[in-house]
Amino acid sequence: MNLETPTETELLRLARQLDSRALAQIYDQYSPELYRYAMRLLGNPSIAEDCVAEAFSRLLRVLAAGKGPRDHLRAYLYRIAHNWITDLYRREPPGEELDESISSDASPPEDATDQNMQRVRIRQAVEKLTPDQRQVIVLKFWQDWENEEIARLLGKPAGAVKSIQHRALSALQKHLQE
Amino acid sequence: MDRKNIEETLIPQIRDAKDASPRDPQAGARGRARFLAEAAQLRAAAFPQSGKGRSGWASPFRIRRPVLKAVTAALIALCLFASAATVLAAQNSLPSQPLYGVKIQMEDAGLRLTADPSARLARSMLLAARRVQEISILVERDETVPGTVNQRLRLHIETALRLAAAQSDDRMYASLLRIQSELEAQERKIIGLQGRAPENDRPVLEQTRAILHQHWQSAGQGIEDPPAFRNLYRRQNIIALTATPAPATTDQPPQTSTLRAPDHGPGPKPRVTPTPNPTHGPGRGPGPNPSATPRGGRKRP
Repeated sequence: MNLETPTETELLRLARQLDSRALAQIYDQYSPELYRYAMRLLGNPSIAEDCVAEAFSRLLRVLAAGKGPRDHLRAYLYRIAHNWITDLYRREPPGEELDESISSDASPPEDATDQNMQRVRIRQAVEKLTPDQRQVIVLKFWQDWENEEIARLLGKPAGAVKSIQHRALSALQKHLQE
Repeated sequence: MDRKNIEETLIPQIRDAKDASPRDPQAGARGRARFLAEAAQLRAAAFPQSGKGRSGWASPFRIRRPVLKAVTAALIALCLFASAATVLAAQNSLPSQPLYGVKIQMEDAGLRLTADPSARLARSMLLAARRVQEISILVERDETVPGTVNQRLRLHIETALRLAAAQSDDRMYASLLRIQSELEAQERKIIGLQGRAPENDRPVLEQTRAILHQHWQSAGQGIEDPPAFRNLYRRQNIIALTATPAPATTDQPPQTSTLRAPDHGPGPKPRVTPTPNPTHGPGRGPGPNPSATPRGGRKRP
């Protein structure tokens, strides 16, 4: 996705003026994928909704103050969401409860196909990654971001992203073999 | 770790596991509504007078609104400054000068905005004194005195007398004494000018003196016979308080309202102490005198 289109710049300019139509368009355009991202990292629909709400609320406040992004709105929203999730993990490290919520989305083991069981195992393994590794895996393979976009979001060189991705895959492999 | 194994096996498995629970549409709608409500609150706080706020898209007006505001403010400030400068410059202008019309307009506006009758009376006499002063300056400068100045002088004095006639007995008495005193001082000033005025100004000065003197008499007669004075001013079709007089075409002697014809010629007369009146002298009791008996004013022999 090209984040620097004039349309986005214009949208942000109007949003900074608190234009209701522009703000509604931003919400409609970005909230579904932001929810999916939060849901994949958090595994809890209610907490994912909270994350989305907080991300858009923070965006609104900075726009009202005449600040905030001039472009790369998508990356900006993901950064807010990621920071919010990281803070949440610091306060409430993911444990059994999160794992249960993930497992509850899947069919019971005795009725599940091997494929479903493998999905559950992978999601559980992703939860065990470090925040950076988890974010890179989610963005790269579940959100279909390019390395350059991830690098921009993380504020790191693309090479560093590749390195994180490599370590994350190794860790996942290790967790799945346990 | 086997890179080939990761790329061929693990990554497809990861991609396959990406499906998250679909978002609850109602939860999504609630989140959207909450977001837009928060935006509306911020908009109301940021733009309290704009109702819906800035809801348009690419309106050039909105884009340049700060610039327009600044330009508008600058224009308003410029107009105010220019107006103030004009008024200030007009304050000392004379009838022969271009800004004199502005001065007259400002005087009329000021009189119109003065609601209190006593204050209007005082202001009218102030304007009368200003006209006499203008005449004085014009004569000193050897300039022609326009007839309109005398017309406005008459208007101011008659306005003051009319306002005095509407006052209670006590207040009318005091007002008429003050008017008499001021008119007498102004008449003396004009008489002093007549001796050294250019020949062509003398008729106007004589007219000015007549106006002052005749109204001095009217005030004195109002002091002596308040009911008759009031009746006279009620009957009169006095020129509207703030009306601008038409340009003078002739300098005919004024037809001043007087209760009786002047019985003396113009010129300073010895001042006569008003006849003591028990209802108006020092130490009298409060309240108007319903009998309104004629009183003594300043009389000229």
